[in-house]
Amino acid sequence: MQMSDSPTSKRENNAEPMRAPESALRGLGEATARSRGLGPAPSWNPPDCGDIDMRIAADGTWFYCGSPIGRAPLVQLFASIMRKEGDRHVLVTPVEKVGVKVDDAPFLAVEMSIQTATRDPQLMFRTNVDDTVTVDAEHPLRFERGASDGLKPYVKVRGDLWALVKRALFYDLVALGRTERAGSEDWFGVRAGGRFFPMCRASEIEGL
Amino acid sequence: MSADLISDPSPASLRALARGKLRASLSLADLERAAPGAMSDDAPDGRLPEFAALGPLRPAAVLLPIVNRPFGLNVLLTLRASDLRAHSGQVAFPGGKIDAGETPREAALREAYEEVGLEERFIEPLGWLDPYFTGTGFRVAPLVALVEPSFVLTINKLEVDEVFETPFAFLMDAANHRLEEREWRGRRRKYYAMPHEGRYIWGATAGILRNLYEKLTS
Repeated sequence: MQMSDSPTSKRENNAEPMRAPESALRGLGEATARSRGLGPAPSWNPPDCGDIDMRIAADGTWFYCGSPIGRAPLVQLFASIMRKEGDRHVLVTPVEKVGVKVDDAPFLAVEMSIQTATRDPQLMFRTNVDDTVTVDAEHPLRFERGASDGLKPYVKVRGDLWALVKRALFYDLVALGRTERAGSEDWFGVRAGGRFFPMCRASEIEGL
Repeated sequence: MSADLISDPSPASLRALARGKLRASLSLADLERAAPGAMSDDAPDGRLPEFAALGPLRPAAVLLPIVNRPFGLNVLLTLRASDLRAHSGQVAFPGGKIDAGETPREAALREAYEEVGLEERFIEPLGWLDPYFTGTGFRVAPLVALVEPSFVLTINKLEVDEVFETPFAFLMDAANHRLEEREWRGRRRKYYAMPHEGRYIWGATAGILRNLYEKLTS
């Protein structure tokens, strides 16, 4: 790799000292006084301050100016004020809005639990920022065909923010799978929260 | 204590832990007298490799730099240049052989400066881990240090391809320590691996990090 790809050496070209992320975003304290899990208030419509050098990698690691953000509470705090605007992921406080780069999905689902006591199985996920989501009509599963790595499952966390389901959990999902008739075709998928979430055509299961 | 290390480690808690758990000093004589520590190459399965067969082990020192970023502690690691003789293309700490007349501390600090341009004034040594014996013939003294983040690095491209940081909390979470196995020089060997964001941290580097984890959480 070239030297310019290195996060630490990249800082050499960046004469401006790195601000602490707490101060990188004005109004953060006020924004996070709201209870967690709700996201930024829909009524906040602050000026757009462009993009900041913040990136969320596919494995859920957040980077600021090329260095990973190691403090989990800080990542949770940023995650709690994120929303999606068009194709863009933004962090929103009452006074400022900034765009961040998302490599795949903004969250990663790292744990799954299944409740089969009821006739209708419930599927719950915990994300890397400690949100929990129960799969239902408002928090659907969706499956996308990746460029090289087969099917990738996602679960909607809130708003239009999704969590990529960790690879290891995908196999647990497949193990839960069943075939149901939808329209004129048989589909392989997962039934949870009273709904069926199709993964692929039943005829394509071999490829999984 | 260990929960803190993982969820939100602070420089203050790390300093306090280091004071109680790490060796305050390590001389060259200490290093030369040391028996292979519990956490040397191949030790995860309880067996030690035949170090005697390797001939005399050469003394070396590494710096385990923990960068005190405003948003958390990160461990600074290097990707060694792909045309180096030993451990080329691998993830490593800054470090190398101890020169004649040098103390392990001097060697660790000199190597950190030579390889990545990290100046001593940013480095606050916290203490030593037990010597780590590598299957490639080194007895390594690891100096753990907190590093102030205002440094500017100059990378010596002859020795290092790249410098990157990995969250300390990730590396100190045992859930991320994978015990792997592979055939090497006619024998199955076990080693730790801690892959993160496309970086494959393994072998002696992962072993030394595992050693740090065990010391700090003991």
